[in-house]
Amino acid sequence: MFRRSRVLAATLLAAVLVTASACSSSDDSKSSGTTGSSGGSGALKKVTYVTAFGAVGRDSFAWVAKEKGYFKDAGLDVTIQKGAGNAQILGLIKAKQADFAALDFTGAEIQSGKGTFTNWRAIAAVHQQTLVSIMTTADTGITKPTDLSGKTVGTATGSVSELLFPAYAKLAGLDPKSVKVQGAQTTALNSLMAQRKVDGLSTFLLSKKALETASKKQVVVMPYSEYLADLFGNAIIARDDVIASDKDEVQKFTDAIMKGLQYTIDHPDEAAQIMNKDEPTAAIPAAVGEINAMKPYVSPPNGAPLGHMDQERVARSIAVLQGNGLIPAGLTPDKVVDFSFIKASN
Amino acid sequence: MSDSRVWSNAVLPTLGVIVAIALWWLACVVFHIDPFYVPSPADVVETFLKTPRYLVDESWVTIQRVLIGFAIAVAAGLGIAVVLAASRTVERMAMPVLAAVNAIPKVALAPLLLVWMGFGNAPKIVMVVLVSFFPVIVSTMAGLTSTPADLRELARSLKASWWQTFVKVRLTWALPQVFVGLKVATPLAIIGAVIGEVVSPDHGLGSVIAGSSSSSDTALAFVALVLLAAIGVILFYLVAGVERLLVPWARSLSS
Repeated sequence: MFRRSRVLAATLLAAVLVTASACSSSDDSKSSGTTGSSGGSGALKKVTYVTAFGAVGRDSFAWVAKEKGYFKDAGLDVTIQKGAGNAQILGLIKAKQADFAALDFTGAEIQSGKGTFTNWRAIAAVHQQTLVSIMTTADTGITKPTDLSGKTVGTATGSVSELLFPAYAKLAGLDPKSVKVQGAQTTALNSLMAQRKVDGLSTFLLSKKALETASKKQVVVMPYSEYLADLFGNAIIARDDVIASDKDEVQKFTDAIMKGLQYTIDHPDEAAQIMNKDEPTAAIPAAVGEINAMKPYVSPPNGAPLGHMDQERVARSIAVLQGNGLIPAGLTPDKVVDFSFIKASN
Repeated sequence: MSDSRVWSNAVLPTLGVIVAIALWWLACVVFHIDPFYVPSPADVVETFLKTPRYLVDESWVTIQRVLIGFAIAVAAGLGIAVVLAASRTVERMAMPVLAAVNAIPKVALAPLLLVWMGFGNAPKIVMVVLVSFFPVIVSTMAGLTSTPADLRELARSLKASWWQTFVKVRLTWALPQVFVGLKVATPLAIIGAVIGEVVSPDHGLGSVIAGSSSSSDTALAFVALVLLAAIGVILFYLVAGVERLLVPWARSLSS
C-alpha cells in the first residue's frame, strides 16, 4: 500500500508536469478566425492565412512576405497554416477558422457556382493561367491529347484537374469517354506514373520536376491552358465578412502578399530557403523548381500589375465552366472576385 | 537481476529489433529497391541526422498530444465504465451509442474536427480521446463485472458498504483488466494523434509525414514512422511498468 501510493503520487506529478509544459509550450498557434477586434494602436492585427497545398514552392511567397516584414509593415501578424486543397480550405473559410487563403481559383469558382461555398471573394490572382496539365513520361509515346484515346489517366480524386478533364478533352479533339480516368490520392500520382500503372496524369504542371525525379525519365507536359486559356490558376481569397468589416486591412494584406510574390519570383532560391527555415520538410530544390515553373504564369498580360484579374476574362472563365456543365447558370464575376482590390491595368 | 532475466528482459528484445532492421536492410540491397519507394535503414538514419533537432521537437509535440489525450481518455473511460458497471439501466442505454461512436471511422472525422476546432492542439487531442477511450471502457467494465462471487460475499460478511465493496474489492480486482485496456489504448492514442496531424498538419510527426509526401521525401516519412514506432514501444512498456508496480499481485495469481 505504501509503495503503491508513492507510485500513484509519482504518476500524478508526472501528469501535472506534462500538462503544465504542454500548456506553456509556444508551438501552439492558437489562432482561430479573427472577428475584427484589434489590440489598440501599434499592436499588430492577428490574421490567419492558409496556403493552397502545404509548404511547397507555389506557396512560398507567403513565408517570404512574413520573413521580409511586409506583413508587419502592413500592421498584420499573419499566422500561416498549411492547407491541403480547395475542399479543406473552403471549409475552413466557411467555418471562419481562416481569414485569407490561396487556392485554385477555377475549383473555387465551381464551388461558388454550385452554391456550396460562397462566403469568399478573390482579391488577387497568383497564376494568370490554369496550371492543370496532362503529364506523361516520354516512354509512353504520348505527345498530343488525341494520343490519350483508349488510355488511362490518373488524377487526384475530386480535384479541379479531374473536373476539368472532360472540358479539356472536348476542346482538344479527344473523346473524353474513350479515356479511363483513375482517381487516386494526390501524393500517389507521381508513383503511379513512374510505375506505369497509368498512361498519363491530369495534375498541376508544377510537379513536373518531382515526376522527373521519381520516374527518372523525361516528362512531356500538355498544359490545359492551350485550350482553356481563360481559366486562372491559384488566387488569393478573403472571407467576405473580413472584407466587409475592414477593407483597408484587406487592401494592406493584398499589397503585402503581392510584394512577397514579386520577391519570390525574382529570388526563387532565397524564397525556398526562407520557407525551408520555417518548414524543414519543404525540400529546397523542389521548391525552387516549382517557383521557376510557375514564373511564366504569374505576370499578367499587357503589363497589368501583379495579381490583376481581368473582369472580362473572369466572365469568360465562368462561361467556359457553365458551357461544360460544371456549374449552373447564375454565377457572375462579382460573386467570385472583389474587383475593388484589383488595381486597374495601365 | 539474474543472468537469465537480463537475457529475457533486455537482450532478447534488442536482438529482435536488430534482426528486423537487418532483414529490412537485406531486402533493400537484394531487391535493389529504389529509395523513393522503400528507403534503407542507412537512408533513414542519414535523413534523421540532417535535421535532428527539428525532428526531436516535432516528436515532443506529438508525445504531448498523445499523453494529454490518453490521460483524458483514461479518466473519462474509467469514469464512464464505473457508471455503466454500477447501473444496468444506464449501461443498456449507453452501450449502443458508445459502440456507434467507436465505429465511426476517425479518418472521416478528422477534417470535420479541423472545421469545428481549427488548428492547434485541441482537435488532435480530441482525436486521441475519440480513438482510445473505447478499449478502456470495455476492459474496465469487463473487470468490474468479473468479481468472483465469494469475494463479494466476503465483503458482505464483513459489513462493507456499497462504496467500500466497490473500491476495495471490485475496482481492485478489475485492475489487471483495466491495464489490458490501457495497453490496447496506448498505440491507438498515437494513431489518433497522427491522424489529426496528417489531416491538418501544423506540428508533430504526422505533419512531418504529410510534409514529406509533398516533397516526395520517402526517407523522411520513414524517419517519422520509426520515431512513432519508438514512442509507441516506450509508452507501451511504461504502461506495463506502471501495471507491475500497481498490481504486483496479479502476476502471482496467474503464474
